[in-house]
Amino acid sequence: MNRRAGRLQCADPYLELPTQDQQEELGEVQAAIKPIYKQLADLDEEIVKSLRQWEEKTRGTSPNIGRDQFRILQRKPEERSKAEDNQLKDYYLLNLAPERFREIRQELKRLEDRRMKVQSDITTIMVMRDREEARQTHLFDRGNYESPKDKVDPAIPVFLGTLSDEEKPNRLSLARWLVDPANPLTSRVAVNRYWQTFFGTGLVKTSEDFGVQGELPSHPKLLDWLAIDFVEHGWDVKRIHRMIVTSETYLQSSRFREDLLDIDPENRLLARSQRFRLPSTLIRDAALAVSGLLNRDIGGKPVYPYQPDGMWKEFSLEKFGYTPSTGKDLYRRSLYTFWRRTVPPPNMFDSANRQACTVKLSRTNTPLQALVMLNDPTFVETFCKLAESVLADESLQDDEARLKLIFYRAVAREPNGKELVALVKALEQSREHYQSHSEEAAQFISVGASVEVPQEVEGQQELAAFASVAQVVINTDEFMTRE
Amino acid sequence: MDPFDQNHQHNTRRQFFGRSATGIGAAALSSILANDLSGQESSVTDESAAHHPASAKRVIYLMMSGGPSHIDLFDHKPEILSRRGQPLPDSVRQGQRLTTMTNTQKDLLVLPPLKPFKAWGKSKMMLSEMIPHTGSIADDICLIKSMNTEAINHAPAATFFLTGSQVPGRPSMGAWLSYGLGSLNNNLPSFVVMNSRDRQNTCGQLLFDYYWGSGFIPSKHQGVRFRAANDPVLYLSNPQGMSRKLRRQMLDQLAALNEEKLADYGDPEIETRIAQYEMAYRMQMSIPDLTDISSEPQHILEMYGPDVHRSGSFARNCLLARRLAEQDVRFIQLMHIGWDQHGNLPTQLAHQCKDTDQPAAALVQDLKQRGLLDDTLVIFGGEFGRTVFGQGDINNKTQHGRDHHGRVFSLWMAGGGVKPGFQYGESCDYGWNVATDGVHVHDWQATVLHLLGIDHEKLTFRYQGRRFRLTDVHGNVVDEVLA
Repeated sequence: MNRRAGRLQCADPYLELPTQDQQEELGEVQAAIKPIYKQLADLDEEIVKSLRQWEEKTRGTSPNIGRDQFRILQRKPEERSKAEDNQLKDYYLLNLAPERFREIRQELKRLEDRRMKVQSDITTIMVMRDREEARQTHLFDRGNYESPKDKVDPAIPVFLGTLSDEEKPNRLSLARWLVDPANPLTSRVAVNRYWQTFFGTGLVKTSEDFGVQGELPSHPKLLDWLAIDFVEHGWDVKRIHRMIVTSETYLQSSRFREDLLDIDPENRLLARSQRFRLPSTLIRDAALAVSGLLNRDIGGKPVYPYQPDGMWKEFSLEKFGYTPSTGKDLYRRSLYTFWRRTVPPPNMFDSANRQACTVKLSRTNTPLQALVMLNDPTFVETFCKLAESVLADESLQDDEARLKLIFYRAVAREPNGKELVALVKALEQSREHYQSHSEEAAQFISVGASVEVPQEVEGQQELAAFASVAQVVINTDEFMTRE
Repeated sequence: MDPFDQNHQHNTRRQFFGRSATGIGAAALSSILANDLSGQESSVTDESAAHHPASAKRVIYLMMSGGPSHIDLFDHKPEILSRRGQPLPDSVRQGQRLTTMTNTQKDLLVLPPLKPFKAWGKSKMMLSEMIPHTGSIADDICLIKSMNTEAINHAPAATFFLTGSQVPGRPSMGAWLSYGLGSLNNNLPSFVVMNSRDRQNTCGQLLFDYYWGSGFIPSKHQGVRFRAANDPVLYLSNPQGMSRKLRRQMLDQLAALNEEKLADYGDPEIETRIAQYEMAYRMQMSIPDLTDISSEPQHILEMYGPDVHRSGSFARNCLLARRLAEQDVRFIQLMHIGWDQHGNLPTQLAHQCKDTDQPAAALVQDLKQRGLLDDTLVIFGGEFGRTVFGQGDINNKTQHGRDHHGRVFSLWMAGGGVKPGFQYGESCDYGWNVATDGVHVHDWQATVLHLLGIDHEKLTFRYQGRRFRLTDVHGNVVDEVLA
């Protein structure tokens, strides 16, 4: 059976993963429901008697009951199906029966509602399951699915090992083979992906293809070593992440070096560190983090951050509207954003399109991305919050100190002389503008839901002026780049 | 062969082909190399990028979503007039599978066109009286009456037309062109999409954003959708309280910070980012200028019909398409929803023709009077046609229609190097099968690319171990329609 909770639907087969609290509550409710069933069963004769009396009395009048029940009522009990009779009985019991019966049924309803609520909160995960009887698969003649030819059975590519005779070739044996230490592929593919995450390019550049069409690794021995180390340490992902990011190679400067341009233009040999733009999801997270807005909760239901009006409606023939989350849910990590495949979150540019498995994100550099970073309320709010937190810091003596802190928060270093000049100039220009356009100042700082707009006009102008500078800093190439 | 040797050979071969300009368009090649090596965008490209001289510089594709009825509008079949109500012979049907909407229908009875056809223009092109404006441009259009596709349902059929595969995940035609030919304009995207729908909202099919997606080629090539909302492009407007003047000042300081970083790090990606922020700023002017039609004289507005005053209408989008063509936008894709008349053909077809006939014809005329039609290819057509047999009771005055039909249907093109006032291909007497000169969707795609100067077999992108192209492994240019 499929299971639905709100917008989220799980198709069978799925796993339910209740928390301990949920499990306990379900047990409690179940225990309370059981005696009530018994009670109702014991009273059934009396209830039916009462129901029939009511039916006699009511048939032929126009009682205020549901349409379905009215239709059932018109027929004699013996002319109904068992299900119909039960439907009428339950309706009667819940709404019309004498109080001593009704109360029991009402109590049951309260418990059932509670059970429903707990159940709909339980995390479910769709899984795969083997069929009872394996389906016969064929090769298709020239790929035509209407012309099955030779039969094929599940197996492992021979050059990648064999299953033992006891093992049936099913999903379980596939899973075991995938992580078998003798399997040369899985751990190499995995560590290569982690490498790609941190260096922008994998040791094998074609991270989606380790076959004969793929590229050979740039550092084959390193790949082997990492892969074996990964398996020997229990596939500990955190550990390998830490090892990579604390390595000398990773910690090198990513400054371009003239002497390397001819020798290694793509920097595959990593004589310097790699410099690349962060994925859009991480840029959003980073902006939320530096502004102090980021909600670091782990797990839970998906959330609905800001989105321009009408996006979902345009793509669902007006069927689905988008209701943004409120409060802290607006600031959860991008990972938790609800993803509608036909209408992806519009500010998460260069994301995988969810139509086919993608292991490499495209990394483009377009004017539309600039518009997101400058104008999306998500980012505008981070400008204001970053400014707000810096202005609230009473230890800061002057504008220069405040500008330096904004810069430091965003890119984790002090500005150099020229940079400071640009920041000071940005502040002067913004301040001058907002001092003569105070209504614009009030508007700019009211974009997000979380900014506390100062009461005094001067306060609003100052906040807007610093937010305007924060906009500049958060839009620097350095902010959105790993270097 | 040893897999390592095999891999080595592949790589060597690839390097060889990659460095000579064979295999892909020079623009694509230069942009790929530029992207890989330095992160530079290819900006405005000249026509020398093409494989052969192009007759069309840009495309306006009026994609009629839902499947317009060729039987009622474009494919004149006097033979079926006298066969009203007669069953469709099995010899004609040839075992064609039907959709689930008619495969249980008892009789498949011939339903002649709703309205008479008449001969238009000097070319005496036979078109329905329902599309008189199209009739008035008969001498400008090239009508292909032998289009065919394997798909029988909307999403697969539209995906096939737009990406060359029924399964989503491939780049769309506009993305291929942006990738292969680059942009002609520095202030606007090279691929723009605008959608509109039937006002009655009864025959609509959902649109998916992969209809203008970039699949596995870099996402900067995906179509940019102009919306009917206040912001034609997402996040185009500055946030409230951020004036254009102040934004300009802030962008100058931002550029100063980025320049400083560039000087320090030497990463050309920073240079690109500075340029893209400038282009974003220009787009904030150029797009509203483009979508603001107040400068259009009255007689031009009247050409497109009264709907032109409604933002988001097909008529408005056609006018905007002309304005985009004037700005040399490479690929302009207008999708109009609402041709799926299964049950209300007698009432809805007329509405749909009213909404599309005049604007589409006006677009062709308007381009022509400006001298733009010569190098602009206009395409009008759906993902398939409709059945000659009626769906539902054909004797019911209002409640019947036609089902999907891909074996043969019609599509017209104008300008851009196709023969004007020309008809190509014939269907059988029932408008059910191709009789002569069939044009498969892949043939049509090859032809469109040819008109743009591209050899469809040479515009390829390597992904997951093989080279992909728009026409897969099929397609022949239809030389007969070339002027």
